[in-house]
Amino acid sequence: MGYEPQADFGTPPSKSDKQVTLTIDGHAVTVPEGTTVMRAAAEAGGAIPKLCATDNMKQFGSCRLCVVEIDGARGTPASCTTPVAQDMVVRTQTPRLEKLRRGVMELYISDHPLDCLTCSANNDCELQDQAAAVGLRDVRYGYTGENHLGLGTDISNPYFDFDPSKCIVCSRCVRACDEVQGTFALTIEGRGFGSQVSPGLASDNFLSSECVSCGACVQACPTATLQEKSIKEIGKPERSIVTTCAYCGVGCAFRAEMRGDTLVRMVPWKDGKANHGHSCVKGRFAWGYANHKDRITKPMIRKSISEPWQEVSWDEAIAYTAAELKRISASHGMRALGATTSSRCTNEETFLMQKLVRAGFGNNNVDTCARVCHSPTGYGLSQTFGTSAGTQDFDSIEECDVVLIIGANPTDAHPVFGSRIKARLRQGAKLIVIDPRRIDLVRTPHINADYHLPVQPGTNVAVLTAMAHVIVTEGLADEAFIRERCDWDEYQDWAQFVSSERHSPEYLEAVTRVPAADLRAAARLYATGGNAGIYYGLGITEHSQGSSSVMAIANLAMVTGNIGRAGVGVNPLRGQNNVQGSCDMGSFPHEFSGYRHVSDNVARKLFEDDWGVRLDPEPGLRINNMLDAAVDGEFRAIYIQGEDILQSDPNTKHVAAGLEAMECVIVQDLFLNETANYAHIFLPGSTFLEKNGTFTNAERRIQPVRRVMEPANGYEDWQITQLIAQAMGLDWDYTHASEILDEIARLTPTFTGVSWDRLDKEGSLQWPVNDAAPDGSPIMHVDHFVRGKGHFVVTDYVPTDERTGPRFPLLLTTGRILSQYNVGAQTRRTDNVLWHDEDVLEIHPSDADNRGLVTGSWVRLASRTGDTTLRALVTDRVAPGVVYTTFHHPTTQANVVTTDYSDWATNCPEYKVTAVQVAPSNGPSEWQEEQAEITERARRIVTAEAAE
Amino acid sequence: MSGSDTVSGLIRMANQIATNMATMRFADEPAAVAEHIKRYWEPRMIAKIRVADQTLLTPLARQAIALLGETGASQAQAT
Repeated sequence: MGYEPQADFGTPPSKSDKQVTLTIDGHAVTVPEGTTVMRAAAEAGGAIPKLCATDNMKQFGSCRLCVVEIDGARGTPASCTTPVAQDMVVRTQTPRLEKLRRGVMELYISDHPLDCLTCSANNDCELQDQAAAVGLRDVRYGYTGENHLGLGTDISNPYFDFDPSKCIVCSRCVRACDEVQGTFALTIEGRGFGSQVSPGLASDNFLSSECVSCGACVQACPTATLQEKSIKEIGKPERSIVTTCAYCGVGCAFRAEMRGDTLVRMVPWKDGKANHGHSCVKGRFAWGYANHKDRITKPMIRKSISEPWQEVSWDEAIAYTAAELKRISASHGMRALGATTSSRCTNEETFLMQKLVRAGFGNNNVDTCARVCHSPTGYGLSQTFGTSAGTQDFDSIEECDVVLIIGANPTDAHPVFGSRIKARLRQGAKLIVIDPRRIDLVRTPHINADYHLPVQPGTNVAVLTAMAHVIVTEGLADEAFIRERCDWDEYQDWAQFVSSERHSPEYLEAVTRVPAADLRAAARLYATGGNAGIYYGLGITEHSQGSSSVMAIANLAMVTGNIGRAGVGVNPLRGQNNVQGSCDMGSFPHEFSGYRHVSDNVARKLFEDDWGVRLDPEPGLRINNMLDAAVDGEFRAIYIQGEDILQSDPNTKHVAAGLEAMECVIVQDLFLNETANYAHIFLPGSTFLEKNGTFTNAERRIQPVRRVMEPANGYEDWQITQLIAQAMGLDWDYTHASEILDEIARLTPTFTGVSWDRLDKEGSLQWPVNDAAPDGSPIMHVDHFVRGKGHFVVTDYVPTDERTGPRFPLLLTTGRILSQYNVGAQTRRTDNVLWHDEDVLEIHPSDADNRGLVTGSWVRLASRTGDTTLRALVTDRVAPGVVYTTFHHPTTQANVVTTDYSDWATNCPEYKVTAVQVAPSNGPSEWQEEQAEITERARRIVTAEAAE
Repeated sequence: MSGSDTVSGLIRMANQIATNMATMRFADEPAAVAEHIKRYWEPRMIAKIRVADQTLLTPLARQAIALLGETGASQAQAT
């Protein structure tokens, strides 16, 4: 594909079903009612000159370049603000219009540097294009008058510059920040000739302002005023390839814009159905880790973890890996081996990993990082609805009247969808937030949550059941829906249960710390406010009652009939890019792809026949069980792809003990991560830019990942897994990821209609894609639940075993920040560290005062499990008695503090509830100092050249 | 974590499953808990909890483990 700018129709499309026919420049054009003349002309193949208009924002009518003549209309109306009308006759090119446009353009150019040849936007500049389009040849006013050409460039942002000397004050950047991103960080300062784009206060620059570096303003700018630094450094792209972001579960589609084999920039793809052309600071800009100096591109082995790494050839590494796995299987039994797949890897890679374990290792000891995030979603939604997936597409938010967000922080963790939520809220939708912390959405420009229920960590089930109590006892249940779609007898049992006084908001207030009146009002709003959609995250799942909470959420949706149509539903916001996909692909030890249990004889035979091998009918070990078994000497080797369990999993010391007890730890990753400190074999991985495959986002959307450059390590990740399989005697011979996708489609009922060719043609597909839903399924459970009748599950509140007390009086909960991602392996190796270079501990002013702490104080954070040190941030975002931190930095190792407690059904760790004490500290804990030494020792490398 | 710690962990897990499932109104609670454990636990885990000190289990968990029979133990020996 060569380089072409993305098409821009000037104004957004109309959603009207009614068609209108008009004449534009003598041609009949039919478009939906409400379409602007500008868009109608563009859709008909014409191009009315424009500068302030762009099709992802409302029309503005400022630049006056898009004027047209309309029969019967006075003057020359702006085509961007004029809607079409039946039988309207429009002329877009007349001598009068040409003269007007040239006059307008002349004024713009009179205050614009004439440095096109040396400008970084040369040949990719709308101002330049439009000057040519209107035939501007001269500027009568000269260039010596008062102008803005001497204004200095703001280079404070690490990813883009702001050069006001090139600004035409079209306000596209300001409107993009308002309408698309919803941050309202930019404004036009001054009046008339003195008008200037300003990031916040006059004293601010882009870095110090409230700008979140989403890139929407850069994308909107029609000149070189706001432009990526990489364009200046590398040059204009020559080609682009559409691919899918490898960060969060939103799954934004991007154009990777290339010059030669060098990535120049990632630009959100306007046709991407998950992101509709928007992006966040991570996907848009934080891809520099791909070429970071820390990246390992050669395989390495070592006999023991006390030795330095030895670079070896791929042949030697693969042979050694296979030999070690076979040796350990022979000496300790096949159940001594296992693996973990990664939600950062493609569907094809995770599918091959679980296939290697089941068909190659001969057991089911495969788990995935979704164990520690959304495994309760799988259990809870399977029990109630019949399948492990969110019910809606992201577009559903546009028809949502009441947004209920619980245990999620979309503007930080799923920022592009967060912006869409904000847009819907600005249109008037109501908002309920249930969270112990005051997330940004509670109060942000033009948005005030109708209710923020600051739930005590660990009591979600009590809050959700109390909401059900209000709905049932106040007669707000949708009985018609329940009778038609759910098991009526089960409902009656459940209704009787929740109606008990002990589930009332008043009774539970002492437990939940949520004012009963607020809870009642929120429940009424959810039940009666129109279409109500629930969006939840790890603040629901990562509890000892994570699965119960998911089922309680499903109960709420069913009792109010908020399921099976646009605007409603139950929506788990997946943390990583391919959490949904890794779960779909059979990464859990008890089930094959498509969520079929390994004991299911029919399903197992399907795989046995296809793979030509007998498969174990018993479930395998979960990752925490693997670590336990390793300490007990029963589990000896693990193959870890794309995950850093030492940093991400709970109770770090136990993880370290488990890894240290193994004879062979194989880590396949981009970097020597913390887990690799305990590894014997390091297989360098490939980035998402270097591989083909698919990711499945939080709305079940399967999207292509396309290789835009050669793998720096020599192989795509699935190829490495195949090499190991072949060395172990398996006859795999895939030549492209698409062949693995074909196998997935062959063996997975929800993927039957998915193929690489089809994804190429259609861009994306939402599973299930099969005979029953040949075009995919944007919304699930439309006429009936996957399981048949919806299943109400009684969810009683059972307190966690983790308790506060005199020694550990505070509750720690953990989460993410916008600029960093998960364990930070990628984002810490980008300029995103400018916004977050260390984990900090949020603590309420009253708790800080009691301990003599101020913002910036070093504090010791201690639990029954361990302790670490970090700096304090005193803030009333958290309630008294609650502290909060992130887990992005290995120097902090927040998971040294978290415990072994986990969800009762799935063992998803209880990251969100840890009893802790906070005290002033002088410096790093013993554990931190010890880990720093281990890390330094573990990263010694003897290069292949040095070894010769 | 030693082997005894692993067993303690398994007992805690079984008790937690039983406590939560006891609230869910199954017609046959021991069978439901046993089915859950059989569905998600690797056979060696079942074998270990079967020979653990049963007095550390809640009554419902104890009944469920008893229902699991010899399956777990036999699977563990097959490794």
